[in-house]
Order: sequence, then C-alpha cells, then structure tokens
Amino acid sequence: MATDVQDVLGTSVKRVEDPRFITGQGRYVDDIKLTGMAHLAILRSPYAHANIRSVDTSRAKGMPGVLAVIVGADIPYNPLPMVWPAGGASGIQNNVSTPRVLATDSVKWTGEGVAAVVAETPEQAVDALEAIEVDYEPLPAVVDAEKATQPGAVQLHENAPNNVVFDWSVGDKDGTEKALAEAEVVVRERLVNHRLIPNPMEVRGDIGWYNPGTDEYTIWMSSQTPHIQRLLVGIFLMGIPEHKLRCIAPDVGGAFGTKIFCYADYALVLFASKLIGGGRPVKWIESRRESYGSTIHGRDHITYVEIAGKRDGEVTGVKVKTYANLGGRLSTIGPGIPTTLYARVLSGCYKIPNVYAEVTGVYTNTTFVDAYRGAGRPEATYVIERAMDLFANEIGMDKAELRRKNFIPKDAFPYDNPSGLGTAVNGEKIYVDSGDYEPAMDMALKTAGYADLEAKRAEAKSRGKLLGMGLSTYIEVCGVAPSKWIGAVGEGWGAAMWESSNIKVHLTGKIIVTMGTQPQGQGHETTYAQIISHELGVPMDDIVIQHSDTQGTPFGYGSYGSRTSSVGSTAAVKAADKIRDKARRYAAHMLEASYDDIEVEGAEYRVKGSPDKKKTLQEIAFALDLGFSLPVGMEPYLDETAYYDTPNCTWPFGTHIAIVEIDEDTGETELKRYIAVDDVGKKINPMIVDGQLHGGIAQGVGQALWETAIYGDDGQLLSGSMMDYALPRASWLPNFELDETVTPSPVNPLGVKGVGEAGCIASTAAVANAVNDALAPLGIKHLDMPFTAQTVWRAIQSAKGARA
Amino acid sequence: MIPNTFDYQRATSLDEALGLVGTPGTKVIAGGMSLLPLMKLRLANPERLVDIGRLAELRGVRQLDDGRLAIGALTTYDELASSPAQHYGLIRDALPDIGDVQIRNRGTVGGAVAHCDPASDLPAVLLALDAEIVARSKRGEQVYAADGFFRGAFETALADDELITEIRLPGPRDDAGSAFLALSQRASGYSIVGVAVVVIKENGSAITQANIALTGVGDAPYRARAVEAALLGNEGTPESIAAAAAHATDGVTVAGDIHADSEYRAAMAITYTKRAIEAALGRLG
Ligand SMILES: Cc1cc2nc3c(=O)[nH]c(=O)nc-3n(C[C@H](O)[C@H](O)[C@H](O)COP(=O)(O)OP(=O)(O)OC[C@H]3O[C@@H](n4cnc5c(N)ncnc54)[C@H](O)[C@@H]3O)c2cc1C
Repeated sequence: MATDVQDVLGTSVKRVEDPRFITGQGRYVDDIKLTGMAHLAILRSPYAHANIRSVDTSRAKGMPGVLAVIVGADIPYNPLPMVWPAGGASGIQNNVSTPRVLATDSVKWTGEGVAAVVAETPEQAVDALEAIEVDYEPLPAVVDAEKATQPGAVQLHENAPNNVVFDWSVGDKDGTEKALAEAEVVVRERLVNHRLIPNPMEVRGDIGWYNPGTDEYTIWMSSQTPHIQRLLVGIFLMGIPEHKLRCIAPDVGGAFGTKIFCYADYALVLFASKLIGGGRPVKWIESRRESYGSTIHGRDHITYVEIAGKRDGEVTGVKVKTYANLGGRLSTIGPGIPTTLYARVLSGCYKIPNVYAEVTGVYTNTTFVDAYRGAGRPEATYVIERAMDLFANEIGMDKAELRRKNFIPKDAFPYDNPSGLGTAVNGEKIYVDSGDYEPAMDMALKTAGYADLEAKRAEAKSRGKLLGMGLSTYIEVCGVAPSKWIGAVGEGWGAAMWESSNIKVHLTGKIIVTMGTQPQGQGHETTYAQIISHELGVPMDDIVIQHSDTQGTPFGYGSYGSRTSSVGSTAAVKAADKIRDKARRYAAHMLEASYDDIEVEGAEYRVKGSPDKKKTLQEIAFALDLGFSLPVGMEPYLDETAYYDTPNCTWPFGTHIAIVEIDEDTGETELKRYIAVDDVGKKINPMIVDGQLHGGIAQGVGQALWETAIYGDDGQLLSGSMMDYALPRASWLPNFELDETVTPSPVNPLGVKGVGEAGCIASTAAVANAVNDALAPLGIKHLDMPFTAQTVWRAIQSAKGARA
Repeated sequence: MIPNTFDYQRATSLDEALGLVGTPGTKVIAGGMSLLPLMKLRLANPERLVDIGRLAELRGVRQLDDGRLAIGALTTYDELASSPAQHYGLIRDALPDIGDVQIRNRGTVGGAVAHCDPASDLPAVLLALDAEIVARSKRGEQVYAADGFFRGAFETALADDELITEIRLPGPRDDAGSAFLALSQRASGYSIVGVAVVVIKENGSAITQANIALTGVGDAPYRARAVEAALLGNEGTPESIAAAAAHATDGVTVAGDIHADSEYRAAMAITYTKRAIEAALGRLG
C-alpha cells in the first residue's frame, strides 16, 4: 500500500454505483426472485369516503392460483404507528387516526387498501381482485383543508372535530401582533402551496418471508429506513422484536422521502407469508397508478401570511396561519412536517424580530401527506420569499435591496431565530450555525444581469413576451437531526437520530465499511469511499461501502433530511479515527516505539526521526488479524464502530434566480435561464453535489410550472397517472448556471452541510417570484402556482378586463 | 396494470389478417401504443389480438406515378420522418412533437388514424392535406376521404371487418404553404389545440384555397370550414387572418378537462389558428 495514494476527497470522481445502475445490473426489490415465491395484490377503495358494509371474498377464493384472500378483520395488528405528533409534550392535542393494514369499517381516500389476494402469479392475484365484492356505503367527501375545518363540513373521524388533527403554534404571538399593529406597512396575502405526487423511478414494493424453521421474519423492502422499519413494522405494528425481524433494502431507485415511512404493505406481506405457510415468500410490487393514490403525497398548504415593516425596508414581523392537508389518515410523521420542519424556519435567512405561526393539521378525503423532498422547508421558503417580494412591491423597494437590508448579518452567527429551533419546547437550543448571505446573492445578481432587468423586460415586450426575474434567497436545515432536539418528545418524533459506521480492515488490507444510512441513488458508495480513502490513505478501489441490511450493518436512522453527509459522514470519520488510533498503537508495538513517537501519514505509520522504521496499514492489519503477537490488553483484528449524534444542524444557503418569459396571448410560460449560487459548505464530490442541485432544481421548477395533484370534489384523483400529472422533462429546462460560495460548517470535522434538498427548497419560490414579477406590470399582485398556460392566461385576461 | 387474459395470433399475410378481423372480441394490434395502455387499465378487454405488426406489405412509403405519396399503414412515425413524406411541411412540423422516442419508434400511422383519439395530431394533418385513407376487407378495397372519416371520439368510418392498408397524400405543390402548430398538454404531450393549415395562392396574391384542420378541440379532429371560407380571396393581412381565425370553433362543442377548460381551449383554438395561418403564409413567401 503506497503512501502516494491520491487524495480524492473533494474531487469529482465518477460514481462507483453507476456502471451497475446504467447497465441494468442494479438489484431492486422486483429483481429478487425467491424459491416458492407467491404474489400479493391489494384491492383499493374506489371511493374517497365510504363505510364498508361487507366484503365477500368467496368467489375470489375459488379463482385459479389463489392461495389466500385477506380482509381487514383477519389482521390482528393495531393501526399503523404515527410517531411524530405535533408539539405533543406542550399539551397540544393530536387527534390521531392512522390506517389499518387493511381497512375494516370505512375508507377515507381512494386508494386505501381494503382486501388482498395472494396467488401463485401476479396476474392471478390481480384477476382475483376483480372477484372480490365490497359493499360500500358511499359518503360525501371533502378535499380542501381550509373548507374541511368549516362548520358543516363532512366529518372524517369521530375523534377529530372539524377534521382538525392539531392546532399548533410557535413564536411570540403578542409580540408579533404588536409589531403588526405598530408597523408602517402590513401586506397580507393568501398563498396556496399545492399538492404534489412524488415520483421516484422505482415504485415501492416488498417481499415478506416467514421462516417457520426459525420463527423469524425477513423483509426485502424499497426503503430509506430499514433499521427504523424493524422497529415500526416489527415492534410497533406486529409485535415482533428486533431479533426476530431482518429488514433488507436492496438497491433503491429513488425515494424523495416516500420510502421513509411505515406502510401497510410491509406488515401485509409478512402476515401473508406466514398465513400461506410452507415458508413461501410473498412479493408485492406497486403499480405506478397505485403509487399515485397509496404512497404519500407532499406539500398541500393554504397559508395566510402577514408581513409587516417600515417604509425603509426593515421587516419587523411575520405572522402566518397555515392549513396543512394531511390526508384521510395520518402517515408515519405527517404532523411533524408542517410544524417543526416548516414554521421553525419561516423567517428564512432574515433577521426578523417577531415571528408567529399557527398551523392547523387537517384531515381530508385525500391520500396521506408526509415528507417529500424538502419536507416543510420548501413550503416555508415559498411563504417567506413570496412575502418579501410582496413587501418590496408594496413599499416600492428593489427586491434584492430589501433582502440585503434584512439578511442575518454574517457576524450574528450562531443565530437564534425567533420561531426557530432555539425555542424548542424542551429547552435545548439549535442555532443557525453559520452564513454569509450577501456574496452569494451578489454573484447570482451579477450572473443574471439583474441591473439590466428593465431593459430585458422591454426587449421581451417588443417580442410579445412578458419577462420576469425572481429571486429566492433561501436557507435550508440539513443534518437532521440532533437527538436532543428531534428526540425531544413534543418536538421531534421521540426517537434519536444519530448515525453509525463500522470499519473492518481485513487481512489483506482491504476495507469493508458498513453504514447505518441508506442510499436511494445519491452515490453513498462513492462519497463514503472518498472519505475513508482520505482518512486512512487507502485507494478507493480497496474500499467497499455496505449498507441496507439490519443483519450486518450497525443501527442507523437512514437517509432523508439531507443528513447523510453531515451525520453519516462524521460517524465514518470517527470510526476511521478509531482505526487509525488502534493501528498506531499496534505500530508502536511492532516498531518497538512509544505510541507518541508514531507519526501517521496516509497509510504509513512511522517512527518520528527514523523514517525507514515504518509499517503500512496493510501490514498492521495483517498482523493484527493473525493476532500472533499482541500487546497486553489489545484485542486482535482492526474492527471499529463509531456512533455519532450531531450537536447541531447545518445550514446551507444561497441565491437562486429564475428568468421566465410569458406569452401574453396564450399564457405559456418558459423558463429561460436559471442561476443558482449555493453554499453547501465543503464538498465531498462536487459532481455529485451538482447532480443533487440539478435534480432538486428541476423538481422545484416542476412544482412551480407543471406538477399538480388535482382532486375532484368527490375525492377522485383526476391527475391519477403520468398522462395527467406533468413531471418535468429535461428538454423543458435551460442549462442551469451553477456557482458557489464555500463557508465550511463549524458543526462537523469535514465542514460539510448537505445538499439533498437545497435545489427544490430554493427553486419553487424563485420561479414563482419570476412569474409574478413578469405579471406585475399588468397589476397582478399575486398568482398561485402551478403556472400552467391556462392559469396564467386567465390571470392576464382578468387583469386586462379589470383595466379596460 | 396487468391486462385480462387474451389469445394472441400473429398474422403472416394480409389475407390471413382480413380473415380474422371483424369477429366479435377480436382486436387488431399494430404498434400497441394506444391499445396496450387501455388493456393494461382493463378499459379494453379483447378476447383475441391479431398482430399485424409484421406484415411487410403494409410498411413503407412509395411515390405513385401521379406524384401522390402512398404511406403503408404500418409505417411508424420514425420511418415517416425519414421518408419522402418529410417534404410535406405539415408532417415535418407535427412529427417531432408526437409522443416521445419510444412512441415514434413503435406507433404507426394506421394505428393513429384508426384509433381516432380526439387529440391525435396526424388526423388533423391528413385532413388539411386532403389525404385518402385506403381500407381493405374480404369484401374488397374501399377508399375514404380524410374529411368525413374521423366521426367522433375513437370513432371512424372504418367498418368492423376493414383494415387500413395505406394513406395517400396528394403530390406536393409549389404554390402551397403549410404549417402545424400545437399547444400541448404538458403531461401527455397530446395537443390541447393543434392546428394544421395549408394555404394555396394559385397565381397572384390572393388565397385561392385554404385547408384548416383542428385537433384536441372537439370530440374528433375536424375541418374548420368557416375559417377556410373567410380566407378565400383574401390577401392575408393580419386583420383578415384574425377575423377568419375567430371562426375556428364554429359549430363545434369545445371540450374541457383539468388541463384546459372549454373557454381557454376555444380561445387557444383561435389564437393558434391565427398563428398557424400566419406561419403557413410566411412559408409561401
Ligand atoms: C405516452 C404517449 C404519448 C402520445 N403522444 C401523442 C401525441 O403527442 N400526439 C399524437 O397524435 N399521438 C400521441 N400518442 C398516440 C400515438 O400516436 C398512438 O398510440 C399510435 O400512433 C397508435 O399506433 P399503434 O400502431 O401503436 O396502434 P395500436 O395501439 O396498435 O392500435 C390502436 C388502435 O388502432 C387499431 N388499428 C391499428 N392498426 C390498424 C389498421 N392498420 N387498421 C385498422 N385498425 C388498426 C387497433 O385495433 C386499435 O384499436 C401517444 C401515445 C402514448 C402512449
């Protein structure tokens, strides 16, 4: 092992995963075919709201190949766990109703599971579903969160009067109301952040296997959280303790948050495998259409925002009332998203002294809503960034200058924001760790040619186009999350959120690293290998990163919330520290020197002042593994595990600018340019960072311009397939113009922050501000997303009508 | 997303295929791009599929002696794009935006015409070109004019036992300008409004013939006769074009859905008709 191993940390090495992913050799759940495997299909409710009078399965049971037909009453488990109540410890009532593995008495949205068939083939299972007869008593439905809370609205659950899940608030109510009352200017607006359907390339799916020989269960699952699922599915739902359930997440083809949660099908396939007997595994694979109704949705807020301040641009208060649509029943952490992860970052990158937010979580006859890429933070960014533009327009101030005036100054960090994590119920404070917002904004303004905006507008106008430029100066919270915060009952989900890493240096010097985090396409096998290569001086080729199996990887909380690079990587660095330390102790023994006299450079351990007296990590590992000669008290083998609980979150920031052009006659809106200057701290692999930004930006632009989940008043999902739900395509987007500033995070040794969600947190607001900027000359104050051609055309028509 | 059970038979000759179509429960499959999605959703449940996909006699594009172009029913969009049909401006305009690469590689001209989706692009192109649709059955050959063939949503003049064998386009002419413009529904790529225009100035500056067809607007692609009439003898000033285009939806019940309600769709039919006429005239020079 040479000492001249090239340091790959911070370089754009190619992703080690890609050869298998792009040549069709990845191994996803549906690629796994086990001996004797049977197939399960789920009958889903066609009604958004109905009572179930009876389910007749007799005909289905006689269909070819059918092994079992299961209804809700057959299943002995409790309803699914919901582990993140909103502010529970502060006495806030959460009126909880979660789905059952299969519905028993009633259905609350189209897509809720009612019965299941297990058959020899997937085709037979689907055929038999059609032979199940369910007698429904259809009920009226409600799909709009604000309307659902009004008197006389359809009621979904007896324990939730007015369909309210919770009324939660944060910040200083009196102070904020006083600030509003005394302000020179107050701007008020109603903002709709519409519902989205996440679309990972791989839909969900799982295989359950009950081994009657050992009385143990195994599940292969497309999941972001195999370790957490062992707790939720095993202990919370089925009553199976950790030593009896093994969870394996093979390659996962994207998730965007949807695969964090505990879904009914996990328990269903395990239950079914035991039911049909013979140790036969049972596979369930979701169809895309099924996914649209039965895997979680995202966003869906209706918000009343009030922003107050002085005519010179000083913003003095923000008050928000949000109705958060949580669906027909609650998903695993549904209430946590529009509360802690939303309202606590409502003031964004601004120093706003008074912030107060009330959030009402609401049941409606729609698919459940939970964390979707960004989870609360895109919604918060949308509110504050739209509010800043509305305020700037009202006082006639330049939008960039308004932002500059209100930025948290760079010498104010760590900063304790007034609705922020610093006010957490249990007293533990979380600060905004670092930031320097002006340079990023100035870079973006320069690239975008912001100074020439009016000339650009005039030139576009001469072509019949309305041009608009929109800013989004965002921050995001990464590194979810310090256990002291997220684990605090009443603020988080009652569990911890540390990470883990185990490193084994084998006899030949090859290294196997096992991690508690769980990739879904982000490239963890590359970035962790870069880190370990840097830490131990070993080439990447000699390192393999393993994950995703509760048997063989240390417990970890999985990957979401942009946590892997800051929390997971730090666990890996700490495990490498332990390896280096033990290797150094053993080198001292081998070289007959004292520990303090051993200096380490890369993989070389040598005696200070005698450079030829040295051992490589490989030699040390070899000797330690054989264990023939060990110093007193030292165990053989180079095998170390570290667990890491981050003391704080990390806070990327930046400025994104969108430039759009609108066809005045048709309302068609085109994104012409997109400029993003992001500060994500130090980068482990800049190419992967760019990739995350590209995807995130596209996703956020998709929300602003095209994507929208549409329900009919009867609760039918009208945008129920890709023929009606418009995902962004590469050809609709300009080349993104990316740039950076680098402010290392003080929170972790690598100085990294995280980047998984930044793109979509920033971009939706940037595009929304750009479209509204383009429409402003027509007298339009605010238009809600998505800016489909029809929506924009209608706004233009009515503005022209109003002026004519 | 799994279809019902069905029998499958691959036809090895046109005669064999003609012997099989028309029996109840039987459906012909060409590229499968429209039929298979319906079957996977169990909205179509044929008992038997007759696959005509490998009938070489229905494939390819030939120039007829009289200058007309004959397009075999099994010609895919992709094949069409690199055939002599590319010399028709309308086809050049419309093809690249139909579906995606996979759809254009498998979707056939005959399938698109037979399926008659209310928002299908090719029927509008054929209407504006005054194309002919040639069908065969055991009873013999039947030639349909495009105008009148597209009867309603998923409904054509084709008889149950007939197969489309060929589409014929009139020969190209120098005094014609044409253009196809569409506003697409972002998710599906189908047209909310698609307008195919051919304008002819036989000699001089006035329009002597205008063929204008719209898709996506009504329950089937149609010829906008009132627009055509208003353009005749016209020089094509902006005002006269706008006045003519205002008739784009005359006599049509304009469709509405979650992407475009009937008010917006009607307005876009007019705007896009105006723009397509301008583009066609622009190409005439
Ligand atoms: C994702 C997607 C996007 C699309 N986007 C567009 C678009 O933007 N614009 C557009 O215009 N179209 C679009 N289409 C439709 C596409 O053009 C048609 O599906 C395709 O051309 C149909 O041809 P096919 O050979 O696949 O027909 P098939 O699916 O095989 O058949 C369709 C129907 O025609 C019948 N049929 C087929 N061939 C014949 C024949 N020779 N004689 C008699 N009957 C026959 C079949 O029995 C069936 O009823 C899209 C389709 C998809 C799936």
